[in-house]
Amino acid sequence: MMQQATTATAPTSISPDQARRRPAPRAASALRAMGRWCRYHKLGCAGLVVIVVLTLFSFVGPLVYHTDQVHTNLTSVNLAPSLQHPLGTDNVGYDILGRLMEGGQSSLEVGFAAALLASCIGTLWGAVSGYVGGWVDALMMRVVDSAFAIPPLLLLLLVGTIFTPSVIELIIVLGLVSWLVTARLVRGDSLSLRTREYVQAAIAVGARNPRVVARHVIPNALGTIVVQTTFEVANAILLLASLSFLGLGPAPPAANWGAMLSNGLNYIYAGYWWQIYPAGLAIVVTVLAFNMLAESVRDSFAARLMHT
Amino acid sequence: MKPTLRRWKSWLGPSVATVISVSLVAAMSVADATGASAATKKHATASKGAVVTMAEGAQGTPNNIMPFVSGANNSAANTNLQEQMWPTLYTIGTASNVNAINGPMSLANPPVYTKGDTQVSVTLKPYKWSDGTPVTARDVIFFMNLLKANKTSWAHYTPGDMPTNVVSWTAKGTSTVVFKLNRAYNPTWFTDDELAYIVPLPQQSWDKESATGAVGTYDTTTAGAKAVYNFLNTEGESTATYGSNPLWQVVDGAWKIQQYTSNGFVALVPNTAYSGPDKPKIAKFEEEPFTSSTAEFNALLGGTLDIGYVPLNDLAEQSRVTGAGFHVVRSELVAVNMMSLNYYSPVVGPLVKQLYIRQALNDVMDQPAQISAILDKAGGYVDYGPIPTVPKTPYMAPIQKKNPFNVSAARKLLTSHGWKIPANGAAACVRPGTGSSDCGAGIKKGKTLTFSLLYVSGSGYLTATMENYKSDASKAGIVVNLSQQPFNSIVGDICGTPTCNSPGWQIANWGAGFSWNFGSPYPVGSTMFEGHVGLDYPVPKKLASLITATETSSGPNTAKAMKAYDTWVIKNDPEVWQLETYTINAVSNKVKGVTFYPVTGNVFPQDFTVK
Repeated sequence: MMQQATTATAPTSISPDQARRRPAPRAASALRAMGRWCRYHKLGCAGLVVIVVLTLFSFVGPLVYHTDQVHTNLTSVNLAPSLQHPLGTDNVGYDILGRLMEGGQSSLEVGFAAALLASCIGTLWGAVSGYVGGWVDALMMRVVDSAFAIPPLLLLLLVGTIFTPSVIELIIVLGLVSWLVTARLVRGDSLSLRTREYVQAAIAVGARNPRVVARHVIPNALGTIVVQTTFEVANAILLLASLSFLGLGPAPPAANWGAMLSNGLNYIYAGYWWQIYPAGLAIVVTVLAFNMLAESVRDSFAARLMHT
Repeated sequence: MKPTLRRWKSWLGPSVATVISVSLVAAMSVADATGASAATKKHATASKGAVVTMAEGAQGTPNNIMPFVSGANNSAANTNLQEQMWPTLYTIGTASNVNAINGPMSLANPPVYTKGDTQVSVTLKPYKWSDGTPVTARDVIFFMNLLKANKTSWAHYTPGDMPTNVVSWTAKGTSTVVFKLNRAYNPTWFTDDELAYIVPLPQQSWDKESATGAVGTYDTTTAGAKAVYNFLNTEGESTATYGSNPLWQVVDGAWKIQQYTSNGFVALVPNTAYSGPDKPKIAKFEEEPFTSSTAEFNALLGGTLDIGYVPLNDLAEQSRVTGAGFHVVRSELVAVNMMSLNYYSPVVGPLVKQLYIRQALNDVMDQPAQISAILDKAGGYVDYGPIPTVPKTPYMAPIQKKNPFNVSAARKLLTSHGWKIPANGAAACVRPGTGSSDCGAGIKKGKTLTFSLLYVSGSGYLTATMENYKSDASKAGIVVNLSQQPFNSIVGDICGTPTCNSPGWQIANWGAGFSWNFGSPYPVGSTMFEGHVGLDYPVPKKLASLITATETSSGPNTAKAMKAYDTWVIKNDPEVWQLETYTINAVSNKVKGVTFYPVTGNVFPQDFTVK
């Protein structure tokens, strides 16, 4: 048995050095591909870098830069930037840099999750609507049209007034008001895809409608979905900031860029710029980065379609 | 595909939109004057034809005009507006004396107490309604009849007090009303807390059961008085018709309503038939609503207001205000400030019924630190009990001067009563039961010390103090979950009986605490604890008897009775006391005659002149 085992394992055994080097070609290939993509999509690449930096800032930053974002400290309120507090403190003594990191976590978490939820709903809705067609399509699209008529911020304000939302509730609510564009775009793709030969062939061999939608329509609309999801992250972050700015976001002491901006504006006449600019810039830079990335991803898919 | 100008443009669009969106939202907040029009554009250089615009507080806008105030509409904003059109029998407090009857602003001569303070006669001055008929004793009796039939609908109703403590009210001639009381009362209390709430109403115009019905004497029967009240109350709920409803045009005050919008904007014009001593000298008085103090301050500095206030987070910016052509006037109400606890809540009722928990909730409120750090040391003063700290009175007991803030004491109170406090999060009951070292009746094992705290939106300083309270409470294992709502929503939920109380709230902070600013500088406990819209504390017999003593004792016994009442309340901590604020008013240098009356906090625009 021992011999057999040895014999059996011998051909696959590799040295530690080899083990370290084996995946290298794949990683190098991915890096090369990324490099090529970046060469042609500099803005998207810049956006991606900003997003990575923001993510590290928000999630790794608090591990390095420790601050108390739960307990107020009334002995050090409204302090200007210093070595101890690089971005100063706010009106109840929270360190602004630490608060930016905490706020970034909720913005990115809510942004990504809400965008994902919106994309799932929108994709399913649009794919089914476009694939089935007829009165079902007409009905489903009228629902979308009707929902479009209601400004999302108005709905969010209504919900925010009725109850103080938690992060999970915010994700659900933002997701539920953000799926409409995705549904429309995917429905357009679906209308086109259902006439393709491979879809017709699948139907001819007896594939059922749910399988066709799941295996042939949605995967081929993935480009649209990815691009729109990226845009939706930016939209969700902006909506969250707006809601928090109006005092209807997560309750204190939960940190949020919109709430920080709103709070800072109370001290605009006092000249406490450090309570306004960092949060405002964080919102703008983040939204800008996601928009830049989404634009470039869209261009990439468009270019691929032109080549095919 | 290489980046080109076209591609720059493609992402520039959404990006610019983003920046604009953020800026717009920011701008909305800064300038959300919610109907704040360019009032100064209409300002005249002389009183005749001048419009004076005053900011309404961010913590409440008027939302009901009917001068028989219900509990849900009981706010200083409503009372102050109604007083311009339908003054009370007595306005208490002058610019120099908080306790004096304000003669020029009162409809009646000083009351005359006789028969050992068991009878009081009130003689009206020769005022006229705007329809030309005189204000008579019948109008006072009309109010009293409505009150008798609808007492539980009246915001100022306290069981045992007006109208229950008045055996009869009768007219003596056309201008005198004689009130016979069921026992002797302290005249100061009866004038300040009972007579000062009476509002003569135009019987010749309002004593009807429908808009198209004829005026009669319906108020003389209980059923009729109920029908009249229901009619008037329904009309009062119809805010869209305030400017056009003929009912509200019959006034005996100096002003008539011209316009009201749903956001709280009010325009008053002079009552040309006003028969009082101080005729209006300006053409219009406007009250502008704001959803936040920041928006108000922006409008003040931007020149769209004549009278406003400096937000408490901008106290250091008073030089900007004076530089913009205003002078600053500090005012305060005869008030105490507290957060109310919901004793009828199925969730936290059993918790707040325990004295040690109420004491712990008070022990984690650091008022001096909040005043120092959040209110720039000058924006407020401490309040540890039911007697107002400002102005000074002989009623405060020494115990009220002690600052209860002590987190360690709060922790000790909880641990000694069977609670386990974790390093983070809420304390949990580990020793249920009713023993002296147990959690207390109705508290099950594992129950956590978690409260939702609803506080009024629109105030930066209040948000900061609530964050600080939450923070300090967490150190004692008390989790406080904060949420905000507008003032009118919060006061609509709170009332002092289990039947009308909304069970959803747990701790409520409507920002303004409890003020006797509806007419009285006498800080009696009945309106606060026993009133129909008072706090939700189930008043024990001992407290009730102490309150009665404050109403019936007179002379040197008054202060003694008040101190006994004060001591009992502080030892039993029925509410969570919090800091009280000053109002830092800003008045345009062009507007003269602006006085903030110490008891009502109100202004009387008929005294205004514009230079």
